[in-house]
Amino acid sequence: MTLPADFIVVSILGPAIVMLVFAMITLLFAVFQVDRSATASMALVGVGTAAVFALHLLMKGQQGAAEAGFGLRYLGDTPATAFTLVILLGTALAILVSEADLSRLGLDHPEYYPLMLLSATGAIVLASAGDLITLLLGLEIMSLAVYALAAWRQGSRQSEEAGMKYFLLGAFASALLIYGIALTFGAGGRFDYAGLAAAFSAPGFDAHVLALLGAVLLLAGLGFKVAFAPFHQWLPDVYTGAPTPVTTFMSVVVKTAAFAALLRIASTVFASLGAGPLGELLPIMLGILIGATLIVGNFGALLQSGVKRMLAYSAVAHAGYLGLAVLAADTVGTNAAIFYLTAYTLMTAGAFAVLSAITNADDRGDEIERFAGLAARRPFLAASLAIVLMSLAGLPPFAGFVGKLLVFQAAISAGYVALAVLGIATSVVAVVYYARVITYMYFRESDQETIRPLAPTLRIAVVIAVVGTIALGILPGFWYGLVERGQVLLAGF
Amino acid sequence: MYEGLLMMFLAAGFIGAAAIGVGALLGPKRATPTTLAAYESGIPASGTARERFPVHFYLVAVLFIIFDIETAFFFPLAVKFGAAPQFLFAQAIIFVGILAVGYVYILRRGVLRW
Amino acid sequence: MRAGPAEVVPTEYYVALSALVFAIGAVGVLTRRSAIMIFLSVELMLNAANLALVAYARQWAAAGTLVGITGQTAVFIILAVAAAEVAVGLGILVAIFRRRVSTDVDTLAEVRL
Repeated sequence: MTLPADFIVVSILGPAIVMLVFAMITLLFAVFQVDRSATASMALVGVGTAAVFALHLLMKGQQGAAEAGFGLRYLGDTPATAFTLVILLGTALAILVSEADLSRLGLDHPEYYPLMLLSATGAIVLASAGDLITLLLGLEIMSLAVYALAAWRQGSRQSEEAGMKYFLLGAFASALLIYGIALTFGAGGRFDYAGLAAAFSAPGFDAHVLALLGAVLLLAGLGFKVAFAPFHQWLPDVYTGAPTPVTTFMSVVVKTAAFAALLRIASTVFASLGAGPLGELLPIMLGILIGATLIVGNFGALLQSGVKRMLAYSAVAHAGYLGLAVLAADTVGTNAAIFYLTAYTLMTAGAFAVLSAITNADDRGDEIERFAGLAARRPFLAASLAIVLMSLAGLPPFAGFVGKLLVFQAAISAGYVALAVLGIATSVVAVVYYARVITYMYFRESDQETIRPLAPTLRIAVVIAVVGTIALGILPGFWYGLVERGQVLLAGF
Repeated sequence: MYEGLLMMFLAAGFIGAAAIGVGALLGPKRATPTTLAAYESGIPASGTARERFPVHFYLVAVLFIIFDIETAFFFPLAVKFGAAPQFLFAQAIIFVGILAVGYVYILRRGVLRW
Repeated sequence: MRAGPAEVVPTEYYVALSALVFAIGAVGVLTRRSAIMIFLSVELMLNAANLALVAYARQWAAAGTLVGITGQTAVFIILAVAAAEVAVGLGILVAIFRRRVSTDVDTLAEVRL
């Protein structure tokens, strides 16, 4: 085994290492029975430190990769660090939402924050993976912790059931993915994306069928995680059944990481298969999945009466819009997806934060009637929810609008006009179900019980989400430009 | 090229079948409670085997699986240790350090207390 | 692609066997009702992948590609992943079983479909 000179570029691994160290620190906090809010603060400090590392990498615009030996790679380029930052933002928001609700929901076990940090570590590894084995490790570290978190409410059938369903389907998806990895390795003889892409587009390459089978299984495995229809069946149940703080974490962090991995594979391995004799099959399959996702997600959300479940279906719909960026599979698509996921993280976390303030003591009661007259009773919550929902619907001048614009542009410039049109058409449907909640809040009389006072951390989370949603909508260039250029913006940082 | 293997399978099958068949044909058959009892090292069987075990057994078994697999990771390390001794030693220490945190957690949470 | 002495079992045989095991596992996941049986079927699928990986690793090593060792390493990592999955999955299963004394997935209907 020869060790490359840059065997460990610690700065590239920085965010993941910091998160792992803080996961262990919080675990030791749990062991020695340190106060829970101190654990939460420590978790936030960890996320902040990791974010400093990631921001440093992003500012440097480093394009490096850490060799992990055995032909494995860990990437530190602009997409990887940008996705890392989005993951850390989502984790921070999820911790703030959790802190407000843990004791009320009976989730108050000391292992909660260590698991969340471990899961975020896995998500960062998944987003930075440059080969299929690192991808698998990141995916499993992330998923295993989330399975446990989804089943976290002991004594709640709903939560246990969510955990079990998520676990069984997740394990099945992992098995598909792993077999896909095996077949891809069989076809290409290596695991790193760049090497595989080179092997698949080499002149003498003849294992087209094997490579395509491998790619299809990889797509199916990751399709489960990002919830493309028809692999989305688990999502509404799991999102509804899991405790709301955990749903917040799942909906933003898991989705971001899974899409980061899918984008990377699509732009290297899948793209290199495109030139082969069976090359057109993969984009067609992906296109069908995305079309189905857009329709199922948006019309599914239209039929829901519970707001939490509506948001779950809306998460499926947004997977469809993000899929358009995956289909483009180029730099424009990747940048569009980074922006979209940033906006999505802010607005979804904001929506779930408000939801968690409104649900009853049992974490149920997400019926739309519960939101009636909210504007009169709790103007701050109602206005915040209205803003993030309008952003989710893709209305200007909010972040969601810019995000949708970017993914539609990416899809059209890559030649997928029909799917982009379908996306725009289903966006109109989306306005209907988001607007219904807003209508209830502002134009219905309330006959509901009073809502408990807003916890301070929850208020911070909502403020961050709303301010971020508006700021990204009005000044998209700041973040998008940073991502697009991936170069030094602050001298001497 | 697999004749030897085939012969072995045939011989093994024959010996197995013969041992059971000859015993069944020639042996005396007396159905008394003693001969019908499950063999428990000479100790009379008591109760059903299909009881629910305390969850503690599963817990320890699961911990065993995890630590067992983690030990397996030292094999590739040992094979390649000569290539970069200092680096791999540091790596092994970090690996064990992470495991140690898990171990401290298990110990302090009283999982191993019977 | 196929290299090595003639007595060696061709890679295709191993891969065909692994595909068969994978298919058995997949059918098991889709048809079984007990969570434990579903889980066992998933393990079957993982081991099918391991078999394919080892077979391909040998094929690529014989073809003279130096990175062939990674196929064997991957199996190690997948074993660890499977063990971790068992730990988490059995934990959730035990938690559910203690409450309802059944691991039949059809009873998991609390959340509205």
